[in-house]
Amino acid sequence: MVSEIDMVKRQSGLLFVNKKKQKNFVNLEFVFTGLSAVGSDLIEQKFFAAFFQKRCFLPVLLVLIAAGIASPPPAQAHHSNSAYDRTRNETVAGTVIEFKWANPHTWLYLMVPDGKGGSDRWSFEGGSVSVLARNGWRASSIRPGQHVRVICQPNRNGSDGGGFIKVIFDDGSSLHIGVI
Amino acid sequence: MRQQCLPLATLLLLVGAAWAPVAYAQVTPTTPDQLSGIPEGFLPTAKTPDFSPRGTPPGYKVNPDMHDFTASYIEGTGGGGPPGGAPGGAPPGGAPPGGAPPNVGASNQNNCYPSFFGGPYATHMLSSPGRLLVVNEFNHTARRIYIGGSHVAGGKPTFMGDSIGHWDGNALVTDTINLKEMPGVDLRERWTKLPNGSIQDVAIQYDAAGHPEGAASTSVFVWRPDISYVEDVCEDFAEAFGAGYGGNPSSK
Amino acid sequence: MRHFSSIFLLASAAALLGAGALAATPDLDGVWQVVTPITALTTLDGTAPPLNPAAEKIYDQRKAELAAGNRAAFDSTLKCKPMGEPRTAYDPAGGPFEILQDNEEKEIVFGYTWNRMVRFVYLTGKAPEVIGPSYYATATGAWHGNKLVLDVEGLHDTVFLDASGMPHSENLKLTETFQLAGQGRLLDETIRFDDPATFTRPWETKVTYRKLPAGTRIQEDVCEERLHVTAY
Repeated sequence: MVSEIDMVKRQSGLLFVNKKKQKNFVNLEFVFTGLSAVGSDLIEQKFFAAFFQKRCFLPVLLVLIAAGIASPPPAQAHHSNSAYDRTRNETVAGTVIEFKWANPHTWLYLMVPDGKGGSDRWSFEGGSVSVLARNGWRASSIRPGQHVRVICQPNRNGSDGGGFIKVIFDDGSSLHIGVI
Repeated sequence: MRQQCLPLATLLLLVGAAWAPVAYAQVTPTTPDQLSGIPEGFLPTAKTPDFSPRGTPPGYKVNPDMHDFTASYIEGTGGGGPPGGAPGGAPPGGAPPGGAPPNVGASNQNNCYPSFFGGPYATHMLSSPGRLLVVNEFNHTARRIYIGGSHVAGGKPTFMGDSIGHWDGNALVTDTINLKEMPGVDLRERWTKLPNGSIQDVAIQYDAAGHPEGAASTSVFVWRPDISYVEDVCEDFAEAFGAGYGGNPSSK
Repeated sequence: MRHFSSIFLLASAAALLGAGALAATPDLDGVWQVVTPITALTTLDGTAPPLNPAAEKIYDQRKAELAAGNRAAFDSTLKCKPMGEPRTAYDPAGGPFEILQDNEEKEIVFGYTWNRMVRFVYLTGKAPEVIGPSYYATATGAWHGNKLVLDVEGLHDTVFLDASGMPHSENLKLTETFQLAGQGRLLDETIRFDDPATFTRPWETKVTYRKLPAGTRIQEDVCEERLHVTAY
């Protein structure tokens, strides 16, 4: 079934939106979808009609580009070679891709929205199976598709991830690392 | 034309401005309430993180048979590093009773060869007539002590050596020879169950001429009736990281 | 004479009671070795296990590799990944294993020769609390008369049930029943495989082990050293 958005795009002959996520690319479709959710059908129709009229196109595009440039970059800096920055914690919200229950370290992979309509894969390393198990974790504690917040010590090299020390679930429950 | 475009552009800007902070709420500094439950040793405030294993929990009754060591323990001295490796840390190293063997290298651990190990990986002991089995979870390392047995004549050296023992009152006196990585060494230990259920292991190494090498070293295996055996397989680490514990593949 | 009879009766009763207490659970301690090593499992009546079509396809592929001398194509034990439960006890390469029982009958350790693997079994009589999948799984057990019955769950699905590569899912449940035979010289193990994702119905097999001479010791086996491989 063709969405209204697609119909408008086809009519205008303008297939502007790149459906595949690309970093640093303002995903216009995301913006369209957001407006649809917020506005009424009437506003939506008027918006699409106005946008795809060429005389309005350039001013709006300039606004959008300016918004993209003004977006703050991820708050990560490049530091020394030690794996994690133990002087601070970050809380990262995302959707679980996989929780790998293995020795000597467990791993948690998360899909995290990047703030520009796409998402990035974050990798978190955790304690060993025995340490986690003795703090109440199980291999089945975290499942793909779950939305979680991960508290970590972020990677020093600025890459997406860190060492996880706690996971908070949507229902407020949590699991954390601890002594054994 | 401008009249049509300006409201549109403004609307877009407002929506974008409202939305951007929400997007970056995906990655935020951790708030104090979110840190609840995490031990102090794992927090940024910890000057020197303390990952020491807990002691014996209350409420358990020690088996009064002082010759029965069957239980789970975590060695409280000698071992190093955080339990199970803190995030980003290498697996902890541990010195065997009596000091580090001269030839064991990271390369052997890298290739998943057995090595003596202590805390903070748990140690599980089982006493059976004529036998003491000591299994450390690190790469499932097992020491087999034959109580009342004899050394194997002409036995070939092994990583764990050839261990025999006898009772001297409530002390199990053991003798380990044919240690592959400590050639000529005779490792003698006295294992005693303490009133609190923990096991004390006092070890001295003797050279081939029978002279003690260095002072005695003492390990205490803290009684932990609250835990049970958890499997640790070095080859899994090797599969993930290209080599066994330590990071560098050894030569064949 | 009356007193003597009473004393004799009392003594006999005490002796019988004592003997009964001592013989409460059989002594499985010792070093055991499979009588007939198993490369491909069969059911109790000697037929092929009831694999479902998808699992059978995988198993047939692996058996073909084995027949072609290409075991390395599927068998990660050649790279020293654990042989796993229950295969190690009856595999041709598994070697002898020892059983050690503690004095209070709370736990049993199976110590295998192959790459020094060990398995701890806790005699709680309750269902295993599976922390996560492992190579030797999580086992709890209890004595039922003279049979030791183990409930085993949480086995990695990368572990094969036999040397021919029989697959299984992570939901496999094993019931292992051990019973001494041949006046203590033999140990029979009946294994029940329950895995609806792999088999069309639960099925059983039986393996027999013989006791090796007293004083036999488990030899240290370091797989990477023996096969001259670098750990992965």
